[in-house]
Amino acid sequence: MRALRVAMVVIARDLLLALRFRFALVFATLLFVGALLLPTIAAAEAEQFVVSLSQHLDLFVEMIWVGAIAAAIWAQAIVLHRDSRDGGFEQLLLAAHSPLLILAAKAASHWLLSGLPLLAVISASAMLGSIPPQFSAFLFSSVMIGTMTMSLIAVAMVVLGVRQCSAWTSTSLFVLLLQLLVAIVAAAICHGLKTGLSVSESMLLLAGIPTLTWPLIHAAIARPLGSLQVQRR
Amino acid sequence: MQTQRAQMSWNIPQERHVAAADSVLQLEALAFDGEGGRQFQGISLRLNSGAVAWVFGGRPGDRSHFIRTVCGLHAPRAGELLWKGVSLLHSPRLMAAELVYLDRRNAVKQTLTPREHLLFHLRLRDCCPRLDIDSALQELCLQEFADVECGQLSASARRRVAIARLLITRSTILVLDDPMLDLDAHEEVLVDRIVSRHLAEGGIAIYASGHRPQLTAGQIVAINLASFEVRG
Repeated sequence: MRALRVAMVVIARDLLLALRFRFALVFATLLFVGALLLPTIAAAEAEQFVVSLSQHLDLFVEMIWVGAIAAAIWAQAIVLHRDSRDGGFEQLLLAAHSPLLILAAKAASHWLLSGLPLLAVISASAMLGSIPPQFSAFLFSSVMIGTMTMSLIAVAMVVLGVRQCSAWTSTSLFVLLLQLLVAIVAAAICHGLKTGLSVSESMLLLAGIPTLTWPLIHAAIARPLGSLQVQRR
Repeated sequence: MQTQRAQMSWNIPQERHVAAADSVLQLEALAFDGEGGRQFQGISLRLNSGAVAWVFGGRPGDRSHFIRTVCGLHAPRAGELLWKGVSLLHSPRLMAAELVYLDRRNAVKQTLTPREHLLFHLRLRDCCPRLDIDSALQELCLQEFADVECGQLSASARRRVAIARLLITRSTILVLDDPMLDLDAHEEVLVDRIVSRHLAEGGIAIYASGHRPQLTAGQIVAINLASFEVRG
């Protein structure tokens, strides 16, 4: 219960900081509205919205994953960058009884700001009939898994960066590369579903994405505190 | 192994509030990497209740690396940090309960008020405050800024907000990295007063600074970091 309470405190503060970052809120709103509207613009004919969008499903999927990357970068600036810059991360790691708890709480904050709004966009599109129901369910799952993985990658890398005093720029570039990889693989799986891959095969491939991040997470929680490999004389 | 021991001491008051009489912090042959790849080794010391290790010498960045190593944020190359015989570096739970760290950076968010900042840290540690938030703010002359966003405060006031965190947490070990940074000359006495009171209550402190702390209580163990640098 204590762990849950502490995690909620961290998440609540991060969301409060995000709400007070007004420029970022405007940017995020534009981003998500853009993610919803751009496929429509591409479809050109407004009155044939439903039909056109179904025909441009590939474009919709690509826009969702581009939106996922942009949202992840934005959430990193809010949830991770400032804590990394002002020493807040060190205080979190030292005050909490478990580094894993802080990693989980920060990843949850990151996902609430980056992944959850995208799921809302997909749900809205599905309700509007813009995408086929069976495909929207799979897209929903893939975006949920993919964005959660992106959040875990971002937090784990930043914790490792704090531990090694790495520059934010190099850390965030490496995070972006890994997140791009996740987005490309997940988008490819979505595309594969449309071109003959079965749902079970696709889900199995999707489930493999987060497991690949485990070594990174393990290194992040083991190295800063608790399990330092001290060489005894 | 090089060691350096106490250079000056004062009488420690009998009263103990923070720590038990047998509280002891030990550094055993600590070796770490400083700034720019410089290496330090063989730092050993033993701090009993009411003692402060004043770390001076070397570059400020080296002192920061030493402090971060003590806090477990950097892995030491060798050595151990023991609290009552138990490794602090291997026990984040113990570290969280017993140690509070004041970084050179303040870890103060621009868009939070001092009151919100302290409330967050209190909830994060999930413990009863040693001193309530209003009293802590008053002690650091911040009461009139309690509900002003930290981004609008001066560098000195933001530093005092960071220092106020030391007052509300019940940790026994204060680890301070250049606590006088950004403070005006007349405000520096506030820090020394806080550390003196902490030591008088039986606490322990590690105080990295180029200037000797002007404490009214406690025993100072001086550590010249430059003398532990590995040369050649």
